[in-house]
Amino acid sequence: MTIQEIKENETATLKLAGRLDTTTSPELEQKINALGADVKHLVLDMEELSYVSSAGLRVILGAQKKMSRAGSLKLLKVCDAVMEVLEMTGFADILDIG
Amino acid sequence: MGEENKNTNGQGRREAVDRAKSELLQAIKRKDKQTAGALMRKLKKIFLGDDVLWANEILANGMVFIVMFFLAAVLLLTLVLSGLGVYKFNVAALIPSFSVGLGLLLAGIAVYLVTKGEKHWVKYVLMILVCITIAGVYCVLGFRAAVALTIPVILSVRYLSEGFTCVIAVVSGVLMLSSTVLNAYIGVSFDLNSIPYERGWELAVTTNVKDAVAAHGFVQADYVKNLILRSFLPNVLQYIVICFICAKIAKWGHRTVIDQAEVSAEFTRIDTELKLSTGIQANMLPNIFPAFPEREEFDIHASMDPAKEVGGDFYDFFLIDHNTLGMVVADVSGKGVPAALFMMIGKTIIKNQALTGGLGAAEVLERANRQLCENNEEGLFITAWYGQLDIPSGKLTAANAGHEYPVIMKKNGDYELLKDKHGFVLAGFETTKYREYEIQLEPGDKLFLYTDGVPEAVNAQNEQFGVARMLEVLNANKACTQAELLKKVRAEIDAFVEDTPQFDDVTMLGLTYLKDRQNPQSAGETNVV
Repeated sequence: MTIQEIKENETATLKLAGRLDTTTSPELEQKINALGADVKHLVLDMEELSYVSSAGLRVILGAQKKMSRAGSLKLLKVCDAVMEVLEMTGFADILDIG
Repeated sequence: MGEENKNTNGQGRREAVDRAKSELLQAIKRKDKQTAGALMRKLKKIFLGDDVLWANEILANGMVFIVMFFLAAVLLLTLVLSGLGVYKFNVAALIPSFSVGLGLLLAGIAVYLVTKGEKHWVKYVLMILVCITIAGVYCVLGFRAAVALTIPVILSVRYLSEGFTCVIAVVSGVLMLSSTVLNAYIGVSFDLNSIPYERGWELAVTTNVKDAVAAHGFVQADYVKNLILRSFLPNVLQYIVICFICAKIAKWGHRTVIDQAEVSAEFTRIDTELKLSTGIQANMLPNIFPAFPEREEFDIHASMDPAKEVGGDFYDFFLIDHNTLGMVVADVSGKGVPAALFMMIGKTIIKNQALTGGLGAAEVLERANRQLCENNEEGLFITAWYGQLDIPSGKLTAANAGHEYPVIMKKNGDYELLKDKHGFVLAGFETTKYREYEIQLEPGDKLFLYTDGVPEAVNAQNEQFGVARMLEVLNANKACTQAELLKKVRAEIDAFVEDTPQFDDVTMLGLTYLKDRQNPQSAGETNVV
């Protein structure tokens, strides 16, 4: 999985491509933890993300908890397969998906 | 253990390792700490220290043995070509030195064949014979001894011992000096650069260069002195650099081999522990079937197959009271040991909450959720489906925390997905609320619960088994008992994935409701009220 980081004022966008699973989710977790306190809004662009496993959901949940304190977390351009997982697990109700 | 050697000693050692490993497993099972400790030490000795590098030394001796053959062939070839006139050497001086060299090599070959390279002194004998052979040949041939005598030093790196390389470097270095000096007296070539000549000398070569120089009053001692200062010393500096590099490579190789052996031993230990854990985990889930032989109102069966040695899926069922059956199917995020540990906690907490009695399905999940949120620094979560069946009436109350849709078969109908309302996963947020729903079961109705390991099983073409296929299998086996049905589903999954290794834990739970709520008697049986 590749992660492209774009920072603009208080918003950081992480563009993900590939699969978010057990081997690749630590990388995303690290990137999110490394975001400075000045980042109030985090956007995950998932247009090129084809798959999310429960390990990936764990990282997203962690991100939601972290960002909801300081600001917001938003998921963008989620593909159908991933959306299905998010709905099944109830994540769709607690996340801001655009 | 990933060894590429075909040496019988290596194979014997592998067998010894396997024997020691299985003995160790037996010992642990017998809880015999004494034997386990002794066996652990035995395994350690095989993997670490002496035995690892001893095996390497035997192989290295084999390599030197082959190099000796090669050197002998080169000597023979040079002799032949020289005899044929291709090299213009003074053959008379050549034959003794070459013959001695060949003799030494043959002696070395004999030593190896007799001992098979399995004695600690063999490496010294073989390497020193190689050194003397090369030095002897270069006594006669020329002063390029510095280059040729690095051969034994480089060869010694194979033994992965810094000390041994240093010894060979010294031996070879001393031979290099003596070879250079001897060459000044008996050598077939002559280094013109080392003659203390003066302006105006004219050399008329009638016999050879050496005689021509002698005509001008040649002092052997001066020649030797110049040879050492101008030719030998610069070569020695190169030689020392090469020896230093070789020693360091040997040392690094030595350390690497030891490290790898330690890592292997560690992996073996962890592997053994994991295999034991599989058994512990399997026994934690209710696995005696038929589960409630005295209860004829329902038939229940379940199975859990972990993808690795331990899994994060679980199922559970228990009688909350005489009339109420609780059922759980759940999936912890992730796989392996972390998921397995959280799985044990999750199963215990949900069951405890349910057994409090008098709680609705949603409330059981809410309470369990709050407890699971405590001490969950790692941020794991659990998807779960929990149902409570009122046995006399057939009323099933259930709640779903982010888990797969259950499958229901109503009598005379097909197995169909029930798209129940999903709450958020367990152990996510403390405040999560769940909504329960009711289903009325009639005698003959069936329930099937599973984790995502079933629909998401993949084959070599990366196709998923899928919910559709799962429903197909269920509907093709409507008349089976739950035990048979689960076996059939498992068989279909196995046939679909073929050789692809199992990626996720596969868990299933099946229930058939048999009791007739209008008539307290189950079909065809006499009732005991």
